[in-house]
Amino acid sequence: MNKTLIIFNGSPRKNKTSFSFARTITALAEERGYRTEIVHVIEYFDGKKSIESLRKLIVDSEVMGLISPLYVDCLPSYVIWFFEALFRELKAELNGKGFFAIGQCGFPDITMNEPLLESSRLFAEAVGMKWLGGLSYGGGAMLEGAHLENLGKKGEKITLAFKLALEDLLEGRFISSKPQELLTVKIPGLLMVPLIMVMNFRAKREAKKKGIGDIGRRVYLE
Amino acid sequence: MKSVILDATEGNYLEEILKQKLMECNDEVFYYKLKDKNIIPCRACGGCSNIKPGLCVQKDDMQEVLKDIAKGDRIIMLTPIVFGGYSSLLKKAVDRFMVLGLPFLFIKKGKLLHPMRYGTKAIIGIGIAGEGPMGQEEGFRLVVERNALNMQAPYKALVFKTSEDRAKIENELAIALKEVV
Repeated sequence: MNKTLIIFNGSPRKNKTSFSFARTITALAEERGYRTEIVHVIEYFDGKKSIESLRKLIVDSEVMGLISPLYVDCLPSYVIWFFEALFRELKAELNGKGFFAIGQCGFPDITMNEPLLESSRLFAEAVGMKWLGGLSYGGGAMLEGAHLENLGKKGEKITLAFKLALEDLLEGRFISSKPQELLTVKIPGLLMVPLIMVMNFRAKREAKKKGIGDIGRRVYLE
Repeated sequence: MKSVILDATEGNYLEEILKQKLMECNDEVFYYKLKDKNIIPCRACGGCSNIKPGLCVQKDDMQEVLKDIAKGDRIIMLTPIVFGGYSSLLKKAVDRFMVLGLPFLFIKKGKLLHPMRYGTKAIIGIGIAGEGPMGQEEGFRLVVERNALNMQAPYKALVFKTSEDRAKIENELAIALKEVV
């Protein structure tokens, strides 16, 4: 029987950047003979599926990973809820399995994802899983869920990073430093100010297009 | 001083001490026991940026909380420390803070930030440490620090054990309320 990799998609939006990453990672794992499953956390939070229904899948798996957007500096509430539920209901089944996490945030600064990855590590340790490391991607929102094969060089680089990470993960090893190097986008400090000016101009232009007058309205004081 | 309390803890022990200390500071207090509130999590629908900027489309108790935060000066968050961060109950509310930022960017000390729509609010995060692997307390302090960084706020993170001495809690709270304004 093939070994199994489970990816937990932590985004409430099932077809955006976290899913795009999950899609590529599962395809790469399947090339290595793994059976894969993408689990959308939101379906469990919304009560469409029960945590209990994950029992067999988890028992049959060797490695699990979370791919999640950063929400207000850490894991989204859904993912914390999901971790709380797994801790309560399936701790014994998770014990001894490998676990990794990939955090993706809107800003290019990947250090923003540190609390998300640290929480994931602490979850893994709390349920007795083997922490295999975390990866951080900055600028995930800008990808808008695009499939990596449609992103040219950028997509190729991210895919290579995932491929190298899987080489470690599927052998139960901690992720080496190379995948993170490939995922890190370095924007020279001098370019930051003009970049911000362009982004702020775009924000105003988009609002104007949508007929939104004052985007700085203090609506909760009105 | 107007303080908004988001309390995701069970029981009334800390609530009682905190209310007493806030009264001593003559604070106007807006206290929310989150387990009794209907708060719908942020679904990243984009409504607060694309439809009505700054206004969350969810119709729930968070609308009232956001109004109080907008006119308030300080946010105090109480939570059990869960995997080195906030419990899902508190995080449901915190994820809705998205509307407090403007859709513009600026740089401060090398960090890309959103200006705040309602000005700066002081932040006090109070975590209750339970059992768990090493690093829970440091993780919690890091999350509070990052919230404060992104909200450009003065802050303090306090961590108490469930068995903490009452006098110690009172003392540390009094100092935090005095310092973090």
